Amino acid sequence: MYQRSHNPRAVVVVLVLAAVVVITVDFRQSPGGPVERLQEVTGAVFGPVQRGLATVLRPVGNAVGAVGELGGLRSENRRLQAEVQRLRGAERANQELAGQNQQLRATLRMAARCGCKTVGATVVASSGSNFQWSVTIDAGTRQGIARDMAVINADGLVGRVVAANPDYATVLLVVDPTSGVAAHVSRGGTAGLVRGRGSDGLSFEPLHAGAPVGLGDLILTQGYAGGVFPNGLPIGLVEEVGPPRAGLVRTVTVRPFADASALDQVAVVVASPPPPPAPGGGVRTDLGGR
Amino acid sequence: MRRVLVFAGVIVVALLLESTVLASVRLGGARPDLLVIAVVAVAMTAGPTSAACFGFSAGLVADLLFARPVGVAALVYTCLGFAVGVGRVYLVGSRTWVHLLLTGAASLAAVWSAGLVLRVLDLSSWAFVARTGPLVALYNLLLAPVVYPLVRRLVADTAPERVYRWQGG
Repeated sequence: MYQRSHNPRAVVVVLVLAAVVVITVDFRQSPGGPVERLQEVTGAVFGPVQRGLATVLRPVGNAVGAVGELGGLRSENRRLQAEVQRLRGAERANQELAGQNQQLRATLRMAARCGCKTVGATVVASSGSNFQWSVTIDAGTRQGIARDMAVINADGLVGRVVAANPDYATVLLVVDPTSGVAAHVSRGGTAGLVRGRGSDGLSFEPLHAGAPVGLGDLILTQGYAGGVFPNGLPIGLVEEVGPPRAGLVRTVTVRPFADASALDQVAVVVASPPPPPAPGGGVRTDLGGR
Repeated sequence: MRRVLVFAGVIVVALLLESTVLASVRLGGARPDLLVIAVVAVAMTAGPTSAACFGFSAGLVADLLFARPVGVAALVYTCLGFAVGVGRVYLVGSRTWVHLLLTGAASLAAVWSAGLVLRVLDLSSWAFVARTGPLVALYNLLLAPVVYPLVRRLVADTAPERVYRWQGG
């Protein structure tokens, strides 16, 4: 006599239901919810190994990464050969330290720009998913880092902390589609919302249709009481202004300053000065937890 | 028990590689998805139940590690593992290129399914989803000749899953 030991259909139905429940819980949870705590635990487990691997394998990854960039390989090769010749004399470790020093100094200048108190960190891993733009940094609650703190680098705004365990934190990048940042145009002060569009960069949505936004305009963060981001941090430059659609605001494409694919030294804003009073009583545009 | 340990090991190693070495090695902006290759390999070797469990665990850990939304990859990999596991009876013993083609098709299906869910949740755009699918499939095809046989061998070395058990009498 034969007997079924597993019913594959029942197993898959249970697992699919479990996945749907997890998605629902994740979407509806408040800060510090069960899924977020699980994320912190996962980060704490993987963080140290990722850090070790990143240190050992970063040169390998960079080298192989160059191979992936197809097109113009011959001229690239000649240029790289010349560069290798030029760099060969320099001591490797010294150069790396000098580079880090430079990045940290520039990051500090960025922090000084908004009068923020920051904690430095290094990116040890980035999201392996094609749909999420996040990185893991080697600083956590022990260094005073908490959820919803802004993260910057030498170029400008990088993202915000979404999960922190004692030694590591996960940073959701501004280009992630779930990210929303209250912002304004440097010239004219038009307020709006910057949304992530993944590898397509960012979009800026002015709060009022017809507000003046031009090509090459600088987009800065808009600070407000209770908000995540300090005021006046550079986010990016307006690259394209879409045609106005009837009754709808225009779509403005913004090229972010911080290159999401080449993050290394960053700083987490642990304290920032109170934001200036917003014109017109201020507009709360933060997307909150999501 | 040994199989659970092998599954856990495959998940951890795949995720570590994806988030460190492979994160900077992009093909047209897309990253490879080792877990899809692993799910297909497990499904072809161990059947639908094991593959669904493996897919669910791998997806859940990946979601937790790579930030939100949690559960999407778990859902996609579970369904993928089950579907390939059920369909394997038509493919067992086939030529290598059939397995490769299956891995490529599974990668495309996984990215497009996850993209569909994320589009419904308003977290992605059609254009991005459409563009990323073939790129990830191509990238996975390049890695499959190494990853696929490795995972199959690791899983095959553990006790085989028996869907039917001889009870005697």
